Amino acid sequence: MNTQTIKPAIILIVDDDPTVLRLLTAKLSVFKWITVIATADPQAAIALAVEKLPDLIVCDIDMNKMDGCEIAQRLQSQPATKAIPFIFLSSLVAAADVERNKGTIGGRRMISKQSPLDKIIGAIIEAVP
Amino acid sequence: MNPSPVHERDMNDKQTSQQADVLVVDDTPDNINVLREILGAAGYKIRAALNGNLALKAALAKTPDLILMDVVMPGMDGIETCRMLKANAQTREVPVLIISALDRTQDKLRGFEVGAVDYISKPFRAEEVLARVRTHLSLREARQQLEKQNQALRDAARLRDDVDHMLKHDLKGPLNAIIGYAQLIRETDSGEQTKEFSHIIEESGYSMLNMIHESFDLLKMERGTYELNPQPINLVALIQRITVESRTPAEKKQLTFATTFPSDENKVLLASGELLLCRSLFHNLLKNAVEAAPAGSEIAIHYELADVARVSITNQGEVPVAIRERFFDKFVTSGKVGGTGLGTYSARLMVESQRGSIRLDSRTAGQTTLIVELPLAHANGESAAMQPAKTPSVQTAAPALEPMPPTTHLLYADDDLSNHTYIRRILDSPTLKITTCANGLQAVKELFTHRYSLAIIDLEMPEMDGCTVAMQYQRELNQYATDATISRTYLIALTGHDAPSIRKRCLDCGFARVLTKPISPNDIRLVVQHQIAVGDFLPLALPTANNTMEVDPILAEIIPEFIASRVEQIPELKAAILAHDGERVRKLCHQITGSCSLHGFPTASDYYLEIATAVEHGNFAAAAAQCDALPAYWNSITLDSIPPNS
Repeated sequence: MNTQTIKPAIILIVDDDPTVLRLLTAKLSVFKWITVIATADPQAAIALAVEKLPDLIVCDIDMNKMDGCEIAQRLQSQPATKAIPFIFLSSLVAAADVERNKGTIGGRRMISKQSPLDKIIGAIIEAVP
Repeated sequence: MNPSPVHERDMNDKQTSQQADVLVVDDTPDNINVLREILGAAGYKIRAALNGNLALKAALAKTPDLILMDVVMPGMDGIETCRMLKANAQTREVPVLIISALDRTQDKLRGFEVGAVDYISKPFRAEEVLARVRTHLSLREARQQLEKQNQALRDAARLRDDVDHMLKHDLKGPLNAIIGYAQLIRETDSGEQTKEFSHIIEESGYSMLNMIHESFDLLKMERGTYELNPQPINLVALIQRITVESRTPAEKKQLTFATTFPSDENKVLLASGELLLCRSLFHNLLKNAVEAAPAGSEIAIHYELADVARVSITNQGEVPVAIRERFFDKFVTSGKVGGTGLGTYSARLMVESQRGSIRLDSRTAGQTTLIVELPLAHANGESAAMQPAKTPSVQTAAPALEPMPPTTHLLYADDDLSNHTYIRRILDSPTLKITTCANGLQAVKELFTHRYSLAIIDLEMPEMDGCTVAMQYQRELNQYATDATISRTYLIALTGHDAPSIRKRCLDCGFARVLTKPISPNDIRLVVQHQIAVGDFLPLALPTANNTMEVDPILAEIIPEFIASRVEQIPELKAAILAHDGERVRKLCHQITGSCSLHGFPTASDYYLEIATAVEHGNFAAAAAQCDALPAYWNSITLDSIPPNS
C-alpha cells in the first residue's frame, strides 16, 4: 500500500470501557495515517466530534449517562457533524446477525464486538471515507 | 506445559546438520590435519583415528554421523575396518566414504563391496570432499527421519492391535452375560427374576458400550495425550455399586466381601479423578480379584484416608513370583486362558492418567493386595487447579461425614436412540437419575409431569422440534408458575449445527445453554456436574488450568492491563449482585462481555453473559457463585507472545 496516496484520517472512538479504547487505539495506531481520538465519556463525545470533525466515529451503544443511539441522533441533527460516517460497535448484536444484514442493523452500520478483532479493525478501516 | 515434540525434533535436526560428527581415519597425521581444516571450517565436528582399531573404538564409544576412511593403513586396513563397522549393529548405518590414492576400478569396487557409500580419490579437492560429505549427511538424515516415521507408524499400528485385542477379550465377559441371562429369562417364569435378569443384561450392554468408548481413551492415555477432567468421586459408593454388579460371579464362587472404612463414622472417601475411569479401573481390579480368589474365600476392600485416597483390595490368591515385577506391564498374565494381560496394564494407565499410582503387595504369603492411590479431592489449596472450576461444592467442603448430594433428575430428549445409551453411560452417577424420551411431544409432557433439574433436548426431532419444546415450556411456566420460587428446569439445547444464529435462536427460546454435537463426555459431564454442585443453576465452567494465550506483540502491554482491570472489576460486580441490582449487573456484564470478546477471551465473554442471565432469572445466589469463580480464571491465564509474522 502506498501511504502517500492515503489521506490522513481522524477516527473518534466512544466507549465507556477504557480497556476497549486502549485496545482499538493500539491496533489502529499501526496505520500511520490514522489518528485516534478516544473518549470513555459519552457526554464529551459530542463536543469532541464538533471540535475535531473526525472522518469516522465508532461508538458503543450500551453506555451509562448517554447511550450510543442518542449520540448518533444528536450528531445527525447538527449540520457540522451530520455527514460524518457513524458506526456502532456493540456486543448487543451477534456477529452472524450483522453479517447476514451486510453490516447494518436497522439501517445503521454496525460491528459486533464478538467478531474477530482483525475483522473489526478491517471494518473500521474500510469505513474511513 | 506440554513440550512440543515437533519443536524438539527441529532442534535436533538443526544440531545434526550444523554440528555433524565426522570421524576421520588416516594413518598420516598431515592428511588428518588437512581434512580437519576443510571440514572444521564448514562447521563439522571432527574426531580423528590413526588406525582401524582406534576407529572402531571411537565409532563404538560414540556413533559418528559419517566416517572418512583411508584404505592403506598398517594393521587393519580401511577395507577391513569398514567391513567390521558394517558388521556391528550400532555402526552399520553410518555412511563410510573411502579416501584413497588407489583409484583403479577394482580398488573402488572392493570398497563398495564392504559397504562404503562413496569413493574419493587422492589427491582430493576440498570442494569435492565437502560436497560429498554434505550429500551423504543429508541422505543419512533423510533416512533417519523416514525410519523414525516408520517406527511411529509401527508403534501406532501395534497399539491399535493391542486395544483391538483387549476389546475382543474384555467384550466377551459382558457378552456372555447378555447371552446367558437372555436364555435364563426364556427359561424362567418369575416376573421378579425376569426383571433382575433384564437389569443385568442392560448393565452388560452398557459395560460393552463403555469399553468401546474407553478404548479410544486408552490409546490417548498411552500416548500421553489424554486430557484429564477430574471431579470429586466418592470411591466407597462407587466400589459398592461395582461389587453389587459383580455379585453373580462372586456368588458362584461363594466369595464374600469385607469392607473397612476410613473410620467408623466416616464412610466416604473422596478422590479427585474421573468417574468413568475410576469405574472401569475398579471394575477391572475387582473382576481380577474375583477370578483369582479361591472359592469360598474373602475379598477385603480397605479404604484409607491419608495424604491420598487409598483403596486396597486383597484376595486370597497368589500372583506367581515370576510375573510380580512386571505385573502392570503389557501382555503379562498369570495363565488366564484367553487373557491378554491388558487388564492390569490398562488399570495402570487409568490410575496414572488420574495422577495416582497402583502397586502390588504380595509380601504376605498366600494373598495378593492391590493398592490404588488417587489424589484427594480438595475444595481449595493446591489441587484446586485440578478441579474444572471452583464452585461452592457441598461434597468437598469437608470430606468427613458428608452425605451424598441429593439426586438430580435429568431429562434427555433425542430421536437418535443410540445417543440415549451413550448419555446414560457417560453420565453414570449414583446421584443422577436420567429419563430419556425420543420426541418433542413426549419431552413437553415429561417436563410438566416431573420436576427435572435439567433437560438436554435435541433440536432436530420429529413431532416437535427442540425450540418449540423450549418455547412451550417457558410459556406455560410463565403462565402458571406465578410463584417465583418454583424450581424451573434448565434447558440445554443439543444441535449438530454450530452456527451463531442457531445459538441465538436457542437462547431466545429459553435454552440456558447450547451444546454442539458431537458432544464430548467432558463437556456434558461438566455441565451436569455443575448443575449438581450449585443445585439450582447451571454455570458455564471456566477453565483454571492451561490457560495459555498467544498475544499479538502490539498488544503485549494491553492484554495484561486488561486482565488486571477485569480482576479489579470483580468486587464491583459482586457488590451489584449482592445488592440485587439487576440493571447494574446487566450493564456491567454486557460491557465486560463485549470487551472480553474484543480482547480474545470468548469463554469469559460467554461466562459474563451467563451471570447476566442468572440475574435476569432472579437467581442472585448462582450469579454470586459464578462471580466467585472469576478470580481463579483470570489469574490462571498465562500469556505467550507470538512473533510478528506468524
